[in-house]
Order: sequence, then C-alpha cells, then structure tokens
Amino acid sequence: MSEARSTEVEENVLEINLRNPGVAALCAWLVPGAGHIYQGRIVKGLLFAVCILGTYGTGFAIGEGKVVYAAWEPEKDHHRWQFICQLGVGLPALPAIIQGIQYRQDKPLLWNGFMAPPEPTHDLNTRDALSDWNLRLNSAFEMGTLYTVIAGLLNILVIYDAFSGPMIEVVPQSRK
Amino acid sequence: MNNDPLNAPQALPFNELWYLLPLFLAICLVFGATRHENWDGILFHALQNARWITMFVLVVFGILYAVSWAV
Repeated sequence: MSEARSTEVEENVLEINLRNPGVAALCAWLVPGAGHIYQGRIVKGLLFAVCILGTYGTGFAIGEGKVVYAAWEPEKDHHRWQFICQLGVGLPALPAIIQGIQYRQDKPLLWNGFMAPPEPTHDLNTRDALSDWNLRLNSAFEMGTLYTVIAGLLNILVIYDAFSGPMIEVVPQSRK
Repeated sequence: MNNDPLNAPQALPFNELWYLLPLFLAICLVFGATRHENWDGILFHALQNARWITMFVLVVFGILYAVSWAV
C-alpha cells in the first residue's frame, strides 16, 4: 500500500510519499528516524535519529545505565512510571521489559542485570538498591531520567510524523 | 562508599542548568522537523520555539525571583 499526501507548508506545496504509513510508524517507534529513512525522507530521519538517540544515549550514560528499568508492583509501592515515556524510543528500551518480566517471575536476571529493576526493601536494616543508586548517582539519576523520558516523548511526535506527515499549522486568515 | 546523604558526592560535574541546553536544542529541532519538510522551515520553526521557550523560562524565573525577593 502506498499513500501520498500533499501538505501545504507556507507557500510551498510538497508531495510526500509516505509509502506504508503503518510500517513507517512501526519502524519509527523501533528505531527513531528509521520510519523516515524507510519513506526516503533520509535527512529528516537522520536528524531524528541523532537528536533522539543522542538524547537517550546521553541520559543513559549520565545515569550509568540505571535509569531505564521496568518495575510495576504497586502492592510493594515499587513502580517506575517514567518507563512508559522511555518506552517511546522503542528497541533501546525493550531490554528493560525482558528484565522486568524475569524479575516479576523470580527468574535469574539476564545480561549481568543490565536494565534490571532494583530490589526494593522497606526494611531499614537491609540495603536498598534504589536508595544506593540515588545516593551514589545523586542528581545524575534525575538528569538521566529526564533525558531518557524526553527522548521517548519526542519520538511519539516522530512516529506521528512518519504515519501522517508533518503537522500542519493552520494560520488564521486576517479579516478583510 | 559514602553512605552519608549530607556528604554525598556531586555526581554531575557541571551545574545542572548546562545539561538542559542539549535537551533544549533537541526539543526545538525535533519540534521544527515534525512541522516542516524543508530545512528553512525546520530551522525557522526551531528558532521560533527556542525564542518562545526562552521567554517562558525567563518569565518564570522573573516571577520566582520576585517572589523570593518579596518573601
């Protein structure tokens, strides 16, 4: 299926071939920028890839790889809502889901605990991994989280752009 | 490891505000690029966004500064 769309950008009328918008959106979610590259919008795809993967990677590095993990155990007051936003970057965040499933099923963690959720404890005599991370990383934990969350949210805009083309701004016409 | 929260190490080597600049740049460029196809439009929109965000931050800063001065 191939879909072409005309979009009016200022005075220019551009014809954009969105190819298969569903496939493009899926590619854009899995790897930021890949959907645009699939559609032949190479420069925009590279711009998105650099901006979003760069932001995500920088945040991941600032947080020493601890800031992206999937934890959803409300009964233990242990959940990571930020991961919903981080998941927007697609593949780079997916290992956290696998680790989260391993963790919930009490199976051994994979890849040396890469992207694994911390073990929470509410016992003052036991070491709490999340508290240790916060103490050691200090503000870097928050900054790394912010970077990765923003990257995920930005990629949602990119997925929309891959699916239906640029968002057109409607400029109100002045009254005569 | 230092376990005293009051003497915890400063993990970020620079002031936190410097870390917001790359974010600011990425947000402006991605916003611009999701609304235009050509570079002129993208850069123009990115600059508009940058100006708008800067103004917003300055206004919030001004309000907070006035509040802190008044209290």
